Amino acid sequence: MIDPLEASLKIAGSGLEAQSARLRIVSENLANAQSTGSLAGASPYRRKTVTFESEMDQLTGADLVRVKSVGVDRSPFRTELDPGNPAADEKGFVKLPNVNVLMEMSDMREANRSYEANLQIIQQTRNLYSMTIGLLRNS
Amino acid sequence: MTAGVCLILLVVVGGLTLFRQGSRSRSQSGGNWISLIFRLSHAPKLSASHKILVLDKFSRPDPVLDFVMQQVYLFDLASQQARWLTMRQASVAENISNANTPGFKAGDVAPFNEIFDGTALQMAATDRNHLGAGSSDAAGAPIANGTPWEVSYSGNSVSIEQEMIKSGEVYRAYSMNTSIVKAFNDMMMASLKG
Repeated sequence: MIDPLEASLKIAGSGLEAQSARLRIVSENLANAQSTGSLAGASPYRRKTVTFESEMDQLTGADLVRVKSVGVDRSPFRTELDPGNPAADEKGFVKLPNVNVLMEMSDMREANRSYEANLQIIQQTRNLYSMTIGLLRNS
Repeated sequence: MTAGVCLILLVVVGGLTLFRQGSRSRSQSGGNWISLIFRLSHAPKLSASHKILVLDKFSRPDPVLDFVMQQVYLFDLASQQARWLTMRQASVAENISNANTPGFKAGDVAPFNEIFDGTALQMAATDRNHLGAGSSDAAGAPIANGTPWEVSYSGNSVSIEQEMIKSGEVYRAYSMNTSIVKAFNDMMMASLKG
């Protein structure tokens, strides 16, 4: 077992990495919220989802976190009557991505908060380190 | 000649007392060891009254000195608590980083006093049929949080607020720990430098 403080930094770092991957997926979803297919009746962008799993680190014995898989949302597409759109089918309906902007925003908030919490842990661990080093200083 | 021996004795006794008070990192037996050597090497040359003086100085337990010497354990205790606190910080970091992992159960380390309560001698098993007392590795084993504040639909029982409070507790306790060690170190330095 290595130094628990070092392990804390590693764990919080893995948390930062996982949450930033989640933020990346959210931004992809938001950017493609209106991306229709290029051909008539083609499927538009499908919302991506991200899942985490806890991973035991062999070196430190700590529970790190990592992105388990990036999947796709199988829910049905929204359809909209827009005969002028190049992606409209023969009845004039256009399939729009199954991205719910509100849901993405709340997902983004949650990722943001978790990122902040991990940052807080890193900051605090650094404080513990500096308190320990402070013992060596002449007062 | 007697006056010369008496002077040397006083100087040596004074030096040893200072040494004992100054180097508090030695255990009680270290002091007795020094006094034993002193008595063995000097006792035959001394007169009866000086022997009594020496024995009085070293063999009878001095309550004040004993109290001071017992404080030596403070360093050991503080170091153990610091280790426990860093492990708790690691456990908090685990919980926080897994705050969005489905099915993750928040963990914590066993309370500090439980480590001492559970410290006991292990029985040696010399035969396969002996009943084992079980390993008491309570220090590093994460135990489940008693009452998680919230359990999400995905089965995750990490509450970031709870973890932040725990992290604050660790910070406060660690800060107190280092302050105490620093104060004790200052006391040692004061006794060394005078």
